[in-house]
Amino acid sequence: MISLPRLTLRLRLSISIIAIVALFTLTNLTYQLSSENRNLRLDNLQNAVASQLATVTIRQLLENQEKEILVLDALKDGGKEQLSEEEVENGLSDLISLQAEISRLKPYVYAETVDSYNTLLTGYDALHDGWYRFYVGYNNNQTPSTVKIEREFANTMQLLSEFESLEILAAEQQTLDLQKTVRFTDRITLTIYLFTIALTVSLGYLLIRYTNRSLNELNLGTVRIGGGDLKYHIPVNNDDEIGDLTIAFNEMSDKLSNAMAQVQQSKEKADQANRSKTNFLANMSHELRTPLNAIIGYSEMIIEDYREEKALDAEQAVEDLARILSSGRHLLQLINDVLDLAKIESGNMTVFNETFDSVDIIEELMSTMAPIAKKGDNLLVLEKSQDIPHLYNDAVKFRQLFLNLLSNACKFTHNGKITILVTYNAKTRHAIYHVSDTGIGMTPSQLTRVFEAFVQADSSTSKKYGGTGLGLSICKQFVELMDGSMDVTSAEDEGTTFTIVLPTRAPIQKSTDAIPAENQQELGLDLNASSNNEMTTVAEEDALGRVLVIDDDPESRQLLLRHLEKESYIGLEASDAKQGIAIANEQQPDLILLDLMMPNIDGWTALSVLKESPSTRHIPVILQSMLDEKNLGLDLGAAEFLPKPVDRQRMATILRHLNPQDRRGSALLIAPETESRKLLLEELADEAWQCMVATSMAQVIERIQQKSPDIIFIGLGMPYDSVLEILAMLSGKETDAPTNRAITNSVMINNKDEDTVARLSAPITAPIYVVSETPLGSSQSRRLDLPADQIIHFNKDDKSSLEAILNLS
Amino acid sequence: MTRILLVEDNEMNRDMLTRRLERKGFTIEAAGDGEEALKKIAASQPDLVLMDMNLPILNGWATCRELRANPATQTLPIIALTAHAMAEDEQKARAAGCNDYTTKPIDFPLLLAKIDNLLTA
Repeated sequence: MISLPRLTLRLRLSISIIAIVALFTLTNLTYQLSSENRNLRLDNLQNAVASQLATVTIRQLLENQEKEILVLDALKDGGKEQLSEEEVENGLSDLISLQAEISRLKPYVYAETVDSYNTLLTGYDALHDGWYRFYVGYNNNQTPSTVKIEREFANTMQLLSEFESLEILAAEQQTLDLQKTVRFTDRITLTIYLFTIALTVSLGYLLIRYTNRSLNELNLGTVRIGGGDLKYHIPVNNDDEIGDLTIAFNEMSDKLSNAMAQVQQSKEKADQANRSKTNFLANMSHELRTPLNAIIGYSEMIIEDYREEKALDAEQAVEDLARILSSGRHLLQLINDVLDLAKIESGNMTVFNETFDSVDIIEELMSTMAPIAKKGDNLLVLEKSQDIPHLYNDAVKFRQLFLNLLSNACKFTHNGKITILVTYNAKTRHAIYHVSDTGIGMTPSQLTRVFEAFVQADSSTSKKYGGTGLGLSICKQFVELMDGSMDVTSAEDEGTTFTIVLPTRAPIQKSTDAIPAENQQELGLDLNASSNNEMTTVAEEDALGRVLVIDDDPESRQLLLRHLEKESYIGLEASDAKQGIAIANEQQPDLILLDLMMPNIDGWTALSVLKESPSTRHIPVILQSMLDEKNLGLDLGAAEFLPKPVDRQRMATILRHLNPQDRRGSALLIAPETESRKLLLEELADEAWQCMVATSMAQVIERIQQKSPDIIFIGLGMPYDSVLEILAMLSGKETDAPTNRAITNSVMINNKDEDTVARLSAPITAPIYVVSETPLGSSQSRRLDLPADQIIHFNKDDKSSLEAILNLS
Repeated sequence: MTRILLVEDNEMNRDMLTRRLERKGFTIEAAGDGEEALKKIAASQPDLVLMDMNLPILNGWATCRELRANPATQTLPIIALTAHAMAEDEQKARAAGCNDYTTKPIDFPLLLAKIDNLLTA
């Protein structure tokens, strides 16, 4: 494939100029040629004239000489004349000058007349010879015969005439040829000249017309786009600079249009949020007023009874009071639910993780629900596929979640079956819970709104079945807080199944105990400067990492920085993309939180700059936007996408996943290299621990001095005595055992330095766990002088005790 | 004897209001939804209707509009009783044809005054 070069404006202009210059040069050359020919013609004419003159002179001289010879001859016949020396001399010199005169003809000889000239020369030579001998032999009477000389003379004259006429003919022929050439070159010159003019004019015209049209189109387009028609695309007709400009312009209008759409969408989202808030308030007012109506009405009635009738129907009163109580309780439930929802929505719902047996809790709930199930003639069944591992999650929320689901199932099912099926996916380490009933079910349209607040199948449902309409909404939010997912399937009159998937190990949650003042800050209600100053800064060494926040909005930036600080990150801030890129280059943060909507340079551009620069491309970038642009963002090199407004839990989870520095802590593993050690290391790395390994006493000390570990594991294939020795060293006790003994014969080589114990200056505060592949004997355990829970088993089949420890720390 | 039809789907509120109004000397008939209300109005022609708006089957607004469309019940006094307490809720109720409007929890003396007001008008 030959790819033609792009016909750019510059190329067009260059080609035109080159063509015009070339043509002008050609014109000039032909002109030069014709003028040279003209000169040649002139020269030729001159030559012809000169040759003619020379011929005439020669003829004259020849005739004079002949006359002189004839006179001398006549005198000699008289017999008394003698030539003086001088006269002979003169005669001879005349002959020489005549010869010279004939030689002067040579330059005028043409190719056609060369032969004739040579004949003339030969003829004259003979004449010359005759005349010469005449002069020389005159005084001795030895002159050749004049008859012969005269013949020679006539011959020479004849030859001269022939030469002369041939010369004229040749000159004429030459002139004619030259004239032809001159005419021809003149014609070429004129033609090229005219063509050059025509070409210049037409090229100029085309260029003007072409640029004018393109620029006009561009101008029209800019006016239209400027007028607000952002969807308008200027047609791209040319693959040149103007085409490039048009494309750039169209791209700009696209970006503008996208930005406008984003703004519009954010506005709609905000409006929607506002509407649903108003709706929520209206609904809540309605829901609160209904039980209050009963409470106030019955109370008033009872008061009236006392005041007016005095004789009270006790049975009726108890019934009415029971109604007041039930309404009051309903109200309390409602308020609790609303508070839960509000707490979740403001991001202040705390998650307290602990290890618990989820099946235990479900069994317990089932016994609580049994009387209610029995009342509706429902059968309550628990099925589990295998042993479900303990969950490390929020047990209180788990209980509330399943209580809610079970009571819902009982509420909407009569004379049916309620099944809880628990399974475990070992690959993803998720526990899966299905709560199914054979109750009234839901229509597809009800199903789509089932998790919305205050939505029950229809308004009569709540009156028939009770409930606040908030329960499922809360359940769903709880599950999300617990890092799980919740789904529902249902068919009308057939039943409903809720499916909950929870990780067996939820991500580490930092306590979010909130002080009211702090709450306000988190909600962005109190953003004054003084509260900012109260921010406690995270010490560099305690920080999980440094995160750069690039956001033009100071409020959201401050909010993010506060979130980061609470999550133990050091926050860096930049108010625009340029500053952000500069800081990223200089300070090399561990992570970048990048807002997409920014003035001047937007987040997309900043992202591409960050991802192209070799000094920043390794830093994970988390995009932030009101809109869901996750896929596009990930395509362009972002590591994650965090929707705005920011959910702190979600942010923390993302940061934890991405942060290369975010480790739970450092673990020191003192053990020889074995398969079990490899397993343990993998286990620790899985749990985001930074691992150090030591195989000798010296290394132990070295590692501890490098970085004091948060947790120490010792054992796994190490001789029992060596374990004791290292334990003693770590606890700073003097030991009777010689310190230079090898820990193992093969791998562990002890340091012979006597000062090893002394060099471990600070006592170790990190918890020390002795790990063994097989249970230790009781006497061995006693000698370790460690609490029982710090002696653990670990092998490829039993990792539970290790997991328990890791979850605790 | 003034006869009032109370349209209310909440059993507790229906019981409470029936008893309280009966004590004040009204004859109370109750309906649990809009359709039942229309049937009972046609059958017994009460003097006044107390209407909850959130009703199953046929809601309060639709029931009111139907009553107003019928010449026989065009002028039947209707008081809306509703837990919807936003300003536009009153507009909505009046637009549907209610003569008056009161919110839950019910201020009983006020309700009595409204009933009295409509019956004497």
